[in-house]
Amino acid sequence: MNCENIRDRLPECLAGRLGESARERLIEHLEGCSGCRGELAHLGIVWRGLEALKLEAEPDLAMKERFQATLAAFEAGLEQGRLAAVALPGPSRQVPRWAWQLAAGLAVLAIGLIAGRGLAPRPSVTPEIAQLQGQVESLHQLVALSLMQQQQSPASRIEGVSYAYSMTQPDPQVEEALLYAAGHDSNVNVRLSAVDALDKYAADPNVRRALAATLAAQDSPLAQVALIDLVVKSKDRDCAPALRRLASRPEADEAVRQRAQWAIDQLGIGVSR
Amino acid sequence: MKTIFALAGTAIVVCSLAAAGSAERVVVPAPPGGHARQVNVHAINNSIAVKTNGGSEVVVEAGSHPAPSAGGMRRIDGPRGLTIDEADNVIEIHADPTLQGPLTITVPADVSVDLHTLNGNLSVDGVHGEVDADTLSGRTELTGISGTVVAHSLNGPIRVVMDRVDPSKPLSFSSLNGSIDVTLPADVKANVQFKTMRSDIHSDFDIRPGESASMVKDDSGPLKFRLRFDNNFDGAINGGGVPVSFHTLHGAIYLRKKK
Repeated sequence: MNCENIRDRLPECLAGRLGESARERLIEHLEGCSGCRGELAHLGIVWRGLEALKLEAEPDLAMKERFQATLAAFEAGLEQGRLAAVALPGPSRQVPRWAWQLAAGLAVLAIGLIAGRGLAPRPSVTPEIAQLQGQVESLHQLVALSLMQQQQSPASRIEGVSYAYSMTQPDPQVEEALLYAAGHDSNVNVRLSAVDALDKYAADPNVRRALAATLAAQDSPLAQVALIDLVVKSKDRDCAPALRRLASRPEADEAVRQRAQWAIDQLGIGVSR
Repeated sequence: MKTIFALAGTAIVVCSLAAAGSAERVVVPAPPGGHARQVNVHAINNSIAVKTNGGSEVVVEAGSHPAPSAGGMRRIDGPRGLTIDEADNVIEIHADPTLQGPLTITVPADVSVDLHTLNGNLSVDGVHGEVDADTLSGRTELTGISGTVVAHSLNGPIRVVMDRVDPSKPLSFSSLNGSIDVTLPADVKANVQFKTMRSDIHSDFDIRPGESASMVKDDSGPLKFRLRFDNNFDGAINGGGVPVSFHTLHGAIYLRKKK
């Protein structure tokens, strides 16, 4: 496929309407063509913008706080009015005119805020939104896989890992790419971010099976510790041999040995040999 | 067309070429109509210093200074153990274990650099692009960077001062035992993530804690709530934006606001 073909197909692919073989051909092309990757990145920026819009529609924290403060002031005003009414019986219990005006003003403001919140678009799952989410998901997968293969740029590979992390549904291809990055990436920081991202996939039996091998092959002490923590978090007892080897390996970093021993104690796998 | 690219793009410059110029100095000419976009350096025992110039060529200076007994004479045999390859605007510089002394590389400002050494220090100043720095036991010092940084050191300290942060590329810093000291522009929009085992984290940025700073309610005592921090801590600066991650076991972390 040439570049023109590919670029025509990018939107289709983002919309999740491309068959698997066509998508694979597209990814293959993207690996070798920086122009088309740029085009994809541009489209990605648009998608990211769309996502950001979705988030902004939700009431932000400051607005919530302003509303609560206004409501509290309004209630306090009411309470004061009631107290004044009790304390000053008879014709002389006139609440100052400005207080009523203030309370009425606050009430209108509060109603406005409540109505505003009520009218703001709520994230409900209509078929359109579900479809959009599916499209964003397949875009994330595509971008994640494409970025994770950028051999020249560790920052791009880390960006790919964060795309993988932002996917909601575990995907076998992405899992495989993350496991590979966690075990074999030439850059330690990429490995560390991949281990962080695998946290989300740790419940998957395939990932758990692969963790032991990844841990055994790991040569970076920082990544070893991150993997040990992940193993403990996912209660992965299959890693017992790898952990015991690490705990007793004299050339391993002192901190790694201690962490491996801690993991063995946490998982209760210290007794059997 | 392809042949022209192949001819223009693939030039192999070995150290023997150095003899044509000054002994310790190799000039890699810029490709026609542009300059190198990426410079990769792999060394074992050498420190690597990267400086920028206004030009478009890449200059590699290597080897130890002439001994005093040379009496002002130039060395004419060139630095042994240095290999420089250029292909497709990417320059690869390899220093053999036999090469003595530091490597000083002058690059155009608008370039990405990837530096690896085991026992040397790394320093980069004024680069506008992606800086990747990896050393086992050396000190890493990256200043005046505009773009993005991925830095790892096993035992050495890392100090980074950034003039501008590329909002689309993540920043990542990791060290097992060394301290990590990073200065970012005051208006940077970032999501910061700290993963550490026994380190203190200091910052003068206003960081809004994220989910991993767990809030524990405690109604029994005079405290209304207690903020408890895990080994992991994340938060947002200026509303959040580019991901910035710190991984360390024992080194202290300093995240400074650029004054």
